[in-house]
Amino acid sequence: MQNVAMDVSFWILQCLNALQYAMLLFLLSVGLTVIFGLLNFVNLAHASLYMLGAYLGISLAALTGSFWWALLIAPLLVMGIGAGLYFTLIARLRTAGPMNQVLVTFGLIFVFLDLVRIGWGDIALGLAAPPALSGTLHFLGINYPSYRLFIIGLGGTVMAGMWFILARTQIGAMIRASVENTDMAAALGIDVSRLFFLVFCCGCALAGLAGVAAAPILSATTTMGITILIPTMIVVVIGGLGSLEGAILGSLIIGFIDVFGAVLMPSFSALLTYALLAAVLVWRPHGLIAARG
Amino acid sequence: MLEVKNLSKDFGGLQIIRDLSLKVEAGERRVILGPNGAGKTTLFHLLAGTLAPSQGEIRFDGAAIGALNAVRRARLGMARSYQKNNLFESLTIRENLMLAASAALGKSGKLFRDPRHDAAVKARIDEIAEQIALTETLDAQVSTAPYGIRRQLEVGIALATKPKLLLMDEPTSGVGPSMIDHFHRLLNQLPRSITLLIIEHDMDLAFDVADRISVLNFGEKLFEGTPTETKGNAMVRSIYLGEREGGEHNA
Repeated sequence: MQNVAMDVSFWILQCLNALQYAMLLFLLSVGLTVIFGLLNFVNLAHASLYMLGAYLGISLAALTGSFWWALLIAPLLVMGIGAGLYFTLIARLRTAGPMNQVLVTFGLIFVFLDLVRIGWGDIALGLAAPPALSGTLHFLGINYPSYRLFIIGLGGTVMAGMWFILARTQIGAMIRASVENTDMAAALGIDVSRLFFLVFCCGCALAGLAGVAAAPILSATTTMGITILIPTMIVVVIGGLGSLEGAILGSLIIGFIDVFGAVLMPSFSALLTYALLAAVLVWRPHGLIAARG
Repeated sequence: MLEVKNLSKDFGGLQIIRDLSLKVEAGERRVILGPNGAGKTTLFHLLAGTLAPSQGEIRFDGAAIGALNAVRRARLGMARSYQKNNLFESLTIRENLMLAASAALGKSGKLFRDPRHDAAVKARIDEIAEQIALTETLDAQVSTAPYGIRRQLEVGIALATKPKLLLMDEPTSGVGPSMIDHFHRLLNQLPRSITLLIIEHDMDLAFDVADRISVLNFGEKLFEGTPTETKGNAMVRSIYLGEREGGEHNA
């Protein structure tokens, strides 16, 4: 009896871990996928913005003495950096073709990596969870860190907010229309380039938010961007480029496969994600939920 | 309302429109009839400003518009519905109309409002929905809507800008026989504040809707008159009806 109860709580724990990882992936992939859908632009440096979010968050928390200020301001700073990137590079690269885009944004990853090394050094930095969330919560027979629950809640809130904006507002309809057919949207009188810029900035802010949120769990390292880039790209490809629902579904799938793979078949866990990616590319090359036919 | 004088267009020596003159009155329903290859679609491009004429003059509401581009002409009150479907598939019918209406009303800037709650946008959507008889199906997604409904919606999107002149390129092409009747009624119900210029190769629509018909063949205006006059004209019968009855109306 005791054994069974322990088993159940073990699975609940793993589910929550998977959910929490999925939410981080979602915050990253949703920006990447919507930017791709709208601008036809793969921004590999998206994950560097995530890293910058974490480092800026750590500095801001030290400066203001509050995690919450860091969580609020760091994404805005990252958004500013994103806006700078947009005007200097991204806008010019829009017509430069995918190879140039990949090369430039891949180069940016190393630029940011070295900038962070110069600014913050090579040692992993930690960020303490805020006092209100530093304990554990006891429920369903398990003890679970409240900060991890907070991340699940944060991801859920962003999901709900994005759904509301996309489904219920002017800009949401404009985004969905432009993802489907940019030329037609422009012909209707929608200011497409302003829309691109706004969406790009919001995507960058979400990457920064994910970075700050991840810092107390994973601590900030110079390689954290590169580490999460691959799973994020896999989420985007599996879900369907440009699709919000795809980003949600893809994040959940990869989150659960990664966590449960590591528990159930540790030696194959890395392989599982790629096997799934290959299967999706063979069976549904446009992703599970394609944004465009 | 719309006046075309001695209009010509040639592509590398091939004359598609030859010395064409037309005069359309405000509120008129004019059908441009002619076999495929008669130059009807080229004429529309010249009127809408997506092609520049080789020669001739176009006046809209008294002003010469020959030198204006398509966007400027659209702002003067010219709308166009295309021969191919031009709709957002993943959006609902209401959202398609809403985007067109809010852009036309200059309300696209209110990004975080629900435009369906904006009184002016809502009123325009309702007005158009009634005009194109889609009030019942507003919340259906376009990708699931049958072809006839899509054609109606296209007309609706063109109406969102409250145009003075609506250019329609074969609005019933690909629409089944039962829908064609419905579509005729729809066109007949549009307010006379909108002038309609319709390209057709379908005779029935021409006779049903038109006040006057201009018959084109090989880029020239062969004949112009009321539907009854057109039906009775021997020349029209021979080049158009004759071919049609012979089963080959491809020129």
